[in-house]
Amino acid sequence: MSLFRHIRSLNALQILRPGRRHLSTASLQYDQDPQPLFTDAETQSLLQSMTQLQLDKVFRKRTVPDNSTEMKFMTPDQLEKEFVQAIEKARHLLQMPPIVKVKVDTERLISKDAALKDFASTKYVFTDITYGLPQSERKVVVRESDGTLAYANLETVKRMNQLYFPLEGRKSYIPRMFTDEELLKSALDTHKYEFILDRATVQYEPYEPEFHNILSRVFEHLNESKQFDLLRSTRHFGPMAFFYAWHRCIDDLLYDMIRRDYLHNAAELIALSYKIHKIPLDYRSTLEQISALRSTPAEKALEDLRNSIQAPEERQRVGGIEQEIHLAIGKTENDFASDEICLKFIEQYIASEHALKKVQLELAIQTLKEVNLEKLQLFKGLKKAHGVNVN
Amino acid sequence: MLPMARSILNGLVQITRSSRGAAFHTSSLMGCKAADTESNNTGDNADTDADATESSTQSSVPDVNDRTKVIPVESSIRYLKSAAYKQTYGDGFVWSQYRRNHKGMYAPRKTRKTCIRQGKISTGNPCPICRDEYLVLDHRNTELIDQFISPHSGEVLSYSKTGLCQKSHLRLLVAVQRARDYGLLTYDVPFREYDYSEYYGQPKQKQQKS
Amino acid sequence: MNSALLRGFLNKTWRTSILVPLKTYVPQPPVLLNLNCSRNTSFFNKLPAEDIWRGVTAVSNAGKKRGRGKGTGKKTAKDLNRGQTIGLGKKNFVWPGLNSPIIRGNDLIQQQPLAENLEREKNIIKLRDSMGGFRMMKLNPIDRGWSGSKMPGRSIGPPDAVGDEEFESFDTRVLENKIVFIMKGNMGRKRRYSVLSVTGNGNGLAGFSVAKAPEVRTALRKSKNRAGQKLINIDLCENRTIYHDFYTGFGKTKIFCFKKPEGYGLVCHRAIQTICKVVGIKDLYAKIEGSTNLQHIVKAFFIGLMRQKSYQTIANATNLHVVEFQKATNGVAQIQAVPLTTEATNKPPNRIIDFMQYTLGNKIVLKKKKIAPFYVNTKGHTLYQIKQERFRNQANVRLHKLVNQ
Repeated sequence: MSLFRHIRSLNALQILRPGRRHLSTASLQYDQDPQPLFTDAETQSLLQSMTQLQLDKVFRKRTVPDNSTEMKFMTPDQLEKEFVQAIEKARHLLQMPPIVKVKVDTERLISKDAALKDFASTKYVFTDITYGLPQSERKVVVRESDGTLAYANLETVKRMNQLYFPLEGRKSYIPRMFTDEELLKSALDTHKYEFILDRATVQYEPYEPEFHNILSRVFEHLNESKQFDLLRSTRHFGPMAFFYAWHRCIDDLLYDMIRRDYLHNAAELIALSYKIHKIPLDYRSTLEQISALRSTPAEKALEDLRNSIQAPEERQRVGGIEQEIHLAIGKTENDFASDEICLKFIEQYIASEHALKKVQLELAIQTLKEVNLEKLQLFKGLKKAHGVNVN
Repeated sequence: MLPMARSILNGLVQITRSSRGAAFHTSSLMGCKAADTESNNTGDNADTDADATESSTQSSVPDVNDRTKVIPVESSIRYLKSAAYKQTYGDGFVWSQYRRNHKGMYAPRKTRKTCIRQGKISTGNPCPICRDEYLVLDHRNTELIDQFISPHSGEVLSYSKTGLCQKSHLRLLVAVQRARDYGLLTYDVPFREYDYSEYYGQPKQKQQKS
Repeated sequence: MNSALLRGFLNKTWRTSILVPLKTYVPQPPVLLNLNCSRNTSFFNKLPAEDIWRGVTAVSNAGKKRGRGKGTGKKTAKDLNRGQTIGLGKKNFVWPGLNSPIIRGNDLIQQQPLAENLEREKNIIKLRDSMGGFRMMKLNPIDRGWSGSKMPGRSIGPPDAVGDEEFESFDTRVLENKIVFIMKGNMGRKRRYSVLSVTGNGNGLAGFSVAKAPEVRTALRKSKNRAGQKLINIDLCENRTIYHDFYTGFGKTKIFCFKKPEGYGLVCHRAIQTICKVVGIKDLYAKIEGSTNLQHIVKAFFIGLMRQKSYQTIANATNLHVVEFQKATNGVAQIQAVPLTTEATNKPPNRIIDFMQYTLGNKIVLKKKKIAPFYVNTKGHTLYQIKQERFRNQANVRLHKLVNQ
């Protein structure tokens, strides 16, 4: 008993008293159905490319009940298979949470039996618990105490689904973090973006207004704190880029991409915003040029994995000195070529009326150009010194 | 203190005072404020009666085993960042320098129920939380709670490892769950796999069909 | 001085039991009517202080066999000279030349009494009382050994420096401390103390040794220093564990060691635990089969540690890649070693080699089935389980309620 007393007294001391307060709504919301644009194949490939695939970030150490390890002997063939599988797994882990419009609850009456009125003092909920049905098709009906039989509202359906087919990590109640304004704010201020987003994806369905609200809140906060790198190579980067493109505030993200020398990503982001807002500028040809010169993130990751198993002497034989140079500089000729194209495209964007933070972006472009020029000179010099052909 | 005990003490003090006079005071106060009370004493005996009992209970050396004082979480959080904490525990965990006392080869499976009974430490080897009154288990005190969470499994460490008494352990569980609920403590959220067809694909096809 | 004082001390305490007061230093005038028989010799003035003290503090032979005279109740001889200085005594007196200068300025100092010091006697008695019993040294619970107040498992500090070479960050732990006997031609059974200790810097450098000496302390020191001279370098995997599972043995002792993930801890024989702590191994499971002779365990374990192969050697020997799969990183392949020569690596090996089987040297660990307790299939237990079933979620519900108050 005294423990209860203690905890109650602790409660009394609490400053952050969880109340029934609700979150303030974010200012930016999707005004129309974003689904067709989001599911579009081109958009998807753009978003995936922007997300990138850093294997050590995707497969970072997580807490697991059993963290044992297994050692195996493998032939190169088996390893190759393993690599392909790993990439597949990574792509699966980077699956973007779907962006759908907010679903509005509609009342769907089945029948109204006045004769059944007051036969019980409580509602009756009937759930179809057939094995293997997708959640959206599961039928849940409610018999009200006044005799009406109707399809259950969304909240009840979700609750029933969680009751019979629990989703791991979802709570039967909404975590205080999502109901208390202060708590969410403190979490945002400590940059726990990935945690908040992960938790929101588990707790909410994509069509719920709360889900949209929390996502917008996080992305808005991110746009101010500019810690975009925290979300890079996670499943939330795509929706974030989409969100900014939709709401015409890509400039900060663009600046970050340029600063980190992800020029092709910057070009893709601009292309995405052109596509969403149907700006009559030709971006497809540029994208094609870039994609011809660059491999997709998945291909690149696979390539890196393959390189990692080559014995040092073999690496010498296959790639020779050229590969060494590429490794030292971090770029290849194709990269330099694609950078050229990207720069042109980005400059075009900055010059247009769509860019809002022109000065900042121009400065970033300028510094990057200088750095790149230096790198290119070094690259060429190295190649010449080693007697490798320079085109 | 219980009212009964207090009245008994009062009585005892009066008896000893009437027989011994001033000598009692000096010995009982152990030099703490001794001069003060003595000078009081020599003046008027009747007046200091109530005063003396008060001072003898309060001003005597503070009882190390007394745990009736509630320490606010804020001071605990400050304590964890202080030099005093660093000096006591170093870089290790709060529980790493604790070892249970038990007879025989194997420790009992469960730790003791509680270290604090009636506002006092009732054991010679109180658990790591109970022995330091400035360690307050609360969801806001994330720095302390973190020491009791395994970085590998993400679970709260067992009391067989940390040596916490059952009551403190329950308090710890409550604090951890709350901290997670409030978003003060991050953990690895299980991966949710989306079936895209549930949100986009199939309804469209159905519409087309119908 | 000592024996005289002691005499006075005993005199005082025993006066009640001796009817005739002893006055050895005042010669009695021979009075016929009142004949006092006095004796000038007794064991007080015949025996040295040491022997007299033994009479008070020693335990009988039978008692010693029963383990008396050990631990907290043990009596020890008191140094009665402590707290006393020549010239200061019961009578507070100025003795020129003894406790004061003879001439101060131009005056010759005279003998003269001073105010009596009442506290002196009291203080001396207090000091003597505090000396009496045997007190255990205060030891941090963490530094306790394996069992009670015994040495095994306890730390005895780093080995002594050799010249300028200091053993920094080293720690030595006793593993075995026992009495051994040998027969000598002229002395018969001669006993010595044998100490096995292990020293290490917690970072892969360690050594162990056995040393014997007639005294425990010397044996400990000898063993510690000898261990410091026999250091072995042991490679640690990720600075916390062994490279791979291995089997090792010495004599009839067989040890199976298993590499374990981070945070697992040391689950093994206490001697192996202690060695691991000293070496710097943090995660390990070891199972001893056969003899648990301590010296054999230590030797076997050290041999096993030294015989470990690096991943690269294994890869070269088998011409296969060594790959690690961690569950914490979602089971993604991490390449630990690539074989040097690439010839014929692509051919699947003529038989499938299991890594564990390879490192254990084709030995297979006997995995015993867990034997269920005897009561599992009884009626009472089933009834108990039925009764308990409705409380199966009680703890969680209680916690949930407390959390959401």
